[in-house]
Amino acid sequence: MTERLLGDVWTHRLLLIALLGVIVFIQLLPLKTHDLDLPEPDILLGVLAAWMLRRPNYVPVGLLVFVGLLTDFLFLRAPGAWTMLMVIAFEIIRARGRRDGNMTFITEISIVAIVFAGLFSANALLLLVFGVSQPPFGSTVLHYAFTVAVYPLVAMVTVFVFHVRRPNPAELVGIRGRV
Amino acid sequence: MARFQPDEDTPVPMLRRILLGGTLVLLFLLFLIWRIDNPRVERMRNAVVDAIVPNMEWALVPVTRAQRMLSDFESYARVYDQNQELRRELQQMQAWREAALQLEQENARLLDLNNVRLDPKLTFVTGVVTADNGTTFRRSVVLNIGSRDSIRDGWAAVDGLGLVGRIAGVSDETSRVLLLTDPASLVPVTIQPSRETALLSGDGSFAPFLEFVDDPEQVRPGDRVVTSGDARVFPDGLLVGRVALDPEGRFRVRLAADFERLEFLRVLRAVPAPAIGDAEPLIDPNPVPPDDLQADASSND
Repeated sequence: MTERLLGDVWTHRLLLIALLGVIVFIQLLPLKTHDLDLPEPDILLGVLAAWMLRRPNYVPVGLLVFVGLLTDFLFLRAPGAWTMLMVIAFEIIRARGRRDGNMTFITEISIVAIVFAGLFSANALLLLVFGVSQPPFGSTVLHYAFTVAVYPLVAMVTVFVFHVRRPNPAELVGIRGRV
Repeated sequence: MARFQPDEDTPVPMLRRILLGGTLVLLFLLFLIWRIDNPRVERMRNAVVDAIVPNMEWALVPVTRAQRMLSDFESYARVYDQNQELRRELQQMQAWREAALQLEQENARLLDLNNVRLDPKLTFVTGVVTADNGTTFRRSVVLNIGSRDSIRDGWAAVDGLGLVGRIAGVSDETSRVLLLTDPASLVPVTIQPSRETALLSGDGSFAPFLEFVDDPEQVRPGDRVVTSGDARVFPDGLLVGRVALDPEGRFRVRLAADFERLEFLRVLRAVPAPAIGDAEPLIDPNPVPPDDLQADASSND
């Protein structure tokens, strides 16, 4: 029982890493042929949040730090700052998800919206305090709004394509027994 | 009872909390180090890009090609309009061709007259764009040439039409081109024919701003914008684009380079002209005594 559960966890972790890898890869492709200046949504954040709220043990802190640092370096962000705030934000989401095992979808979206708002504004504030140049305020707000707007879609894909659902009570007993 | 409560006092969550705190502190330290000793961490960033991007090349080629084919296919929808447009342009081009031929003859004649040799330093290395930066707000691309091809920071990158950006970050096999449209890009330019100088400042859109124009009265939409060679950022005279007015009445530059299709970029090996330092060599280090001067003057008479 325990081995089966453990194996399942690691399969899903690898699946998540592969999924994130594909997203980063697509973002790196030189496809910017459009003349639109609208920022695109941060799908990476949405995927991490959707998985975190359903199966927190599939998203360990190490994975967050790895993904955060890698994208910090690849996407020309100030290295470390965004990763640090992201880890804090996802610890909040993790704690919230633990406390409220069967939340409604509306609650879930509002949690994500609030935590991401905190994440984006904390990042803007940190960069401001340390005098790092950052994108105009309006673009950041749009970026945030798009990220939250695509979240329901991302969550649906997580549930119906990747079959990542909240554990049912029987499984919970198993997980608790393991810890 | 039925709810799952993580036990706060067991050693495992305690250990986890310490590890988490340590990780956060380390991440913050990394940010601080980046802020203080930027070049070292940026070199680390280049190493990461160098390790990852060349491995993506195999996958990038078919995807990029398919995407280009798709956008070409979309243009079939407007084939009639395009045909008309092309005819019109062809007529204009014929006029230009005549002008170019005349100029070429004139140029050849003048070169012959002057016995001019082009500066051998004005050679270039051509690279292929392998990756975008992937972020929303920055504008840069990664080329498949690096310090192995003797690329250095600060060199200008052009696509056959006009200036694209400058090299900012070189690693062994890749280098990053900071595009003119990046918010961090600032390039001193000259506006022809009025010789007004200005600063071309990117803002993330496809048409960067012209800032600090001395006398805006002298500048008209349609004027040519070339690099000025001031501040020794770029060699002077590279074509950047044409002046345009945006709806709010500010000057922007419509770039000559085709930013929607950056595929091959030339990195100019050009070294900006050395700055003229102090005037010492212009004055005779061994001044002639005044009486000798008078003697000279009298002998000249």
